[in-house]
Amino acid sequence: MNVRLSAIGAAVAFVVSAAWAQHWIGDGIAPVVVTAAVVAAALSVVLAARMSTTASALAATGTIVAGSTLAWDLVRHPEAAPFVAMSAGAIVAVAWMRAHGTNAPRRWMLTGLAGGTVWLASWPAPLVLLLPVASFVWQVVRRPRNPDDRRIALSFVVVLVLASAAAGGVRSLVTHVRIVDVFLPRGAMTWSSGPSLVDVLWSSAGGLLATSPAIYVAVIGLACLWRRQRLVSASGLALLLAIAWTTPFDAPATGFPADRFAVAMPFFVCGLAALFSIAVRALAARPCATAVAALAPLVLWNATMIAVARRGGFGIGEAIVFSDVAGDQARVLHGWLGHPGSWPANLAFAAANRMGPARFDLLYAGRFFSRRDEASARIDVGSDDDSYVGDGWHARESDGTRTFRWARSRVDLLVPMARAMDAVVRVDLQPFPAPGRVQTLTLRVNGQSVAAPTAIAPGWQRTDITVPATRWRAGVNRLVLEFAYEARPSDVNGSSDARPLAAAVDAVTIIPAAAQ
Amino acid sequence: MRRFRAARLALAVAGWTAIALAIVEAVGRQLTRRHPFPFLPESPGHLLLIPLAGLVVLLLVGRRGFSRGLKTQGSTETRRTTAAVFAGLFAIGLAAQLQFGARLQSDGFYYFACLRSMAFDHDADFTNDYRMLGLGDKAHLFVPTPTGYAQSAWAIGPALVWSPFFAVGHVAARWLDATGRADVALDGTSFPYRQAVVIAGLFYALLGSWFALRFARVFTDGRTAAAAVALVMCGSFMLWYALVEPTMTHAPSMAAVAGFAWFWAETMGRRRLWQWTLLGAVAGFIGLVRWQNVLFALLPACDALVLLWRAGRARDWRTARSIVLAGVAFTVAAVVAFTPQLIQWKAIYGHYLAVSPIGPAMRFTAPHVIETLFSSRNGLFAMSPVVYVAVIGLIAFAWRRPAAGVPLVLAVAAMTYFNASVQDWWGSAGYGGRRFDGVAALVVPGMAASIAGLRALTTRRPQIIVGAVAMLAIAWNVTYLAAVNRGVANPARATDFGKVSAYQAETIVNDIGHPFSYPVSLWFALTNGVRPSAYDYLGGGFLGDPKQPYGRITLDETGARLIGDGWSAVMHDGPRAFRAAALRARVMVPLHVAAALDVQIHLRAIASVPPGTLTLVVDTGRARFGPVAVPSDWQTVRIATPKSAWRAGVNRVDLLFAGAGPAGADGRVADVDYLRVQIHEEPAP
Repeated sequence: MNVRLSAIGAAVAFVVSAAWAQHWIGDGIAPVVVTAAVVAAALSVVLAARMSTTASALAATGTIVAGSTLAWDLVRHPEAAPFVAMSAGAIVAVAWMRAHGTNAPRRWMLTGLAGGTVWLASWPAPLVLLLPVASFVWQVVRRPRNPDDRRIALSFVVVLVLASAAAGGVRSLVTHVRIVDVFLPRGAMTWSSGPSLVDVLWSSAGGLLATSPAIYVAVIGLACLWRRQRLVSASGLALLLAIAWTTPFDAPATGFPADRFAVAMPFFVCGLAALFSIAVRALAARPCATAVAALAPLVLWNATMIAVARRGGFGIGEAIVFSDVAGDQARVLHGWLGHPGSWPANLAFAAANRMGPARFDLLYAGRFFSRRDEASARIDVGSDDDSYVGDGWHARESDGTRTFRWARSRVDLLVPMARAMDAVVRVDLQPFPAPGRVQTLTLRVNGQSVAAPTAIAPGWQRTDITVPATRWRAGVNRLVLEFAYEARPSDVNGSSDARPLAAAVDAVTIIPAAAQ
Repeated sequence: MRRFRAARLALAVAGWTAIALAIVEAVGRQLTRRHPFPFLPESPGHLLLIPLAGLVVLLLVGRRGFSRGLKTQGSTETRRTTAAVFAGLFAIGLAAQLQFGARLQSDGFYYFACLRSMAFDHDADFTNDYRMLGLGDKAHLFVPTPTGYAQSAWAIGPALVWSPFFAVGHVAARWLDATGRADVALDGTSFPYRQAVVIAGLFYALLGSWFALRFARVFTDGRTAAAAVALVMCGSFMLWYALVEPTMTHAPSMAAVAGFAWFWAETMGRRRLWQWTLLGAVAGFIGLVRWQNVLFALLPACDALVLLWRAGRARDWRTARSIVLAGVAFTVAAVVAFTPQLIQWKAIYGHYLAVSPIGPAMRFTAPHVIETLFSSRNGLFAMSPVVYVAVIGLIAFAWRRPAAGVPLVLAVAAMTYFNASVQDWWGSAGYGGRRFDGVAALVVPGMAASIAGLRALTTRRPQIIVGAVAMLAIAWNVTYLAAVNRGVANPARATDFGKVSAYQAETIVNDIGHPFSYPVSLWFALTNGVRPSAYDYLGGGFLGDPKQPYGRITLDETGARLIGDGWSAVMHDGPRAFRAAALRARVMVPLHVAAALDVQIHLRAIASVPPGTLTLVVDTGRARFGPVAVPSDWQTVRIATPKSAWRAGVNRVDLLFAGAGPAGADGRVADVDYLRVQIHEEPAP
């Protein structure tokens, strides 16, 4: 009964979400892609059903496909490649698991044959071959001088090479690429010097787990699977890390992160299916806690509603439009907790930089000098600068040619840096003229003054201040621009503007000393 | 072992110390604006963390006792646990009040005026009190009553229950005065007095929670009861009136009703004469705090009626006589307890029973029941979804335990009818369904029943919960991809998930409507051919308030949701904002009731149309009116329409222009400022 109910539930959920996805992002469905997706899903179910119930495997597969950015490849920009990689991953995994720990050459031949199909997909799908290879090496190491090993090795490697050549040939024919390119990873392969694990997994700029909560839950499931199915758990996590470590810098710009991890999707399905089974047992064992936890979001809803009301998000006692308020509530909640898909990275970031976890989204992913080839970093004040400006700034303005903000006599600026270095802080600014007074600028970095006050002449100009590496820190740096005076235009020239103004700031640019 | 016990003791002392320090600090800051413990953090948000940590430590230290305390009743462990939780919550609440800047506001001024008048002037004439509290500009308060006093539409009870706190405020004020604070008046109006009643609001909210806990424990186990109370109090409008606006009467009112309900439930079926008398006194008292609370006397009234009916069937006249006697005792005690209010009315209006002319009118024949519960204008369920769940549970509870459940359902229904009959059924400029403060306590057993139901469901079908979580993940993903599709999110660039989540939430609610306005919003959508979310802004409709027999659609940004096709973006002509209409332009006219209406349209023909050539026909969907000439400068065109041209609900009104002259850019022919409808007397056929 439970199995049937789960299967029906999963099917209904999948159909509803597919219809919804089609409604919102649909751009037509390509039969080839649907076929590839169905094949990939079916193979993933076969794999997951080996270690969980069929119902859980079905539900997990539906959730992974509809709950990750693979849905985009299915209904928005029909793209078969991720599903081909997913299918290949499932085929290799099933064949390899059957061969693992055995001396049966036929099974290893099948694994080699399955491994060859991986070359139908593009890089980094072939990384999945590391699993049977590592397994085989491990087998040899554990049992040295085993007479069967040579036969196994021969059958596995020969079939793998032949199958790879065949698959590579097919792919080169289909996609019109040179056959050599099929076997070479394209893009900047950076391994350890590439983006960090935090970037690939949790960053708001295409982090896998940040943009696919279903995969996040599945990875947790993979970890939970460690006790029961160590082989699957370890191989899934190893594959995740291997793909993450080989992600080139320009990967996020080339599509959704889930596409790169498509070959690991069958393992994620296993993890999610396992977690479903574990969760079902755990919930049944703690029904009271579950019931309260299920109702607790209503308290959160109320708390965010009150917060929105206090901020003036709606008129108290007036008819409100709940869709608008829901947006404000979501913002409030995000401000409190940050993006759950970026946990724990954003929580650690918040603790390290003494700010809310919500700031992680823009300040971490947009941190300066994370790439070695960045010549400078520019904060265009008055443009899209909300994540950088702190206290003391007036509203954005534009004079037609440049955007800027007026600053008071002391303004804060947040400068996220990937590493500390000797650098020049270049400030493009214009002082507010007050008769008989000379405006000066003092720069403080992380609470310490870095130079004597610099006099600023009237008109737009550029001021460079050198800041030694010892003043900077990797993370968010707090820059304070201190001016000698502030004055109100209404007091100075009879204008109706009564704001206290010190200077208009157009941009703040950080230039590494080495680049100068 | 001894060392372990000593460590536990030390941790317990540390926990209690943290809570006590935070209470003294927060009370000190509120009443004296000084810091009794300068070493504690300045920020209230950080101060709040100290009692929170203390509470967590206490709960961890007494973990076993806490768990056992929830299961047993009356034990030392229970008392210790309860005391720790409520003391911790009091400290946290005080810090939260500081964070929110809670102060005397809104109706709180009127109750406070009553308190000050009693304490300092020993009278019921609030003329000077209103002026001292800055209410001198409210002329309607000073229209002399038959006895020459100032008006008052507010109960005396809040003043009575606040008085101990007011006394503490007086002590604080005197102390400040003695220490040289010349700006602290000793006349009952300065901040120590005001902040004292702010603290009182929190105290009574917690006292009410404790009463509600005891009330729920009559019917369920401690764990479920505690969860139910926490959910209802933190998930409803009561949280607002405990922390943000604690000087309204709602916290004391909820506390009083919770106490009454507890005593009623505790003595149900075995109530003696003295208990009937005491219950009557409590009923009178809750009426003092908020007049409509007397409706909750329905609870014992139901008991009495059932007992009488049973005695009558059994021809047990002795029992019947004793029940009648108990009823008389109940009523007399209630009247006696209500006497302070009677005396005050006598003093102000010259009668022991009075209705203030400045209070909201009651319309018992035209209640807004649906709106009071589901409307986006402070509808009880729409604004406090947890109460929705609790009321559903209460109905299930009544099914299983009719002796207690049916009176509770009746009382909730009666209060709903009463609140729906108030002229401003939405509760004026208050947050949420505030007039249901007493109901918040009564629905706690319902919430417990909902928890029990959910618990049973989880035991039998845990996969439903798992499936729901999976659906949430899918919904998140689909809406995220929709955000990518619309350019709100970009997987290749740093993304502000706050902005994205706002878009996601808006998308979902816009698509499916506000779930806690179901099923009314779904029905509205079905009958009016609109999305369920449109119920939020179209559901209220014009003409719902007899005091406002008109409605107006302004063609600026505020009216954007009430217009259809055929309109330009908002334009400006000096201070006037308007839109230009094409040959056919549509507006939505939501009406609470159909009526004969005067349609007034303020408009002008665009400059390129020759004067006098443009005409307008108004099509309400049921009839067409016109043509009328469209003026060349801003003027109001009036068209009288019969009742038959309109329907209750959303009317799609098309403005059909026709003329010989050339149209402007994008086919625009006329500029429209607003459209107004007003009820007019339909001439007899």
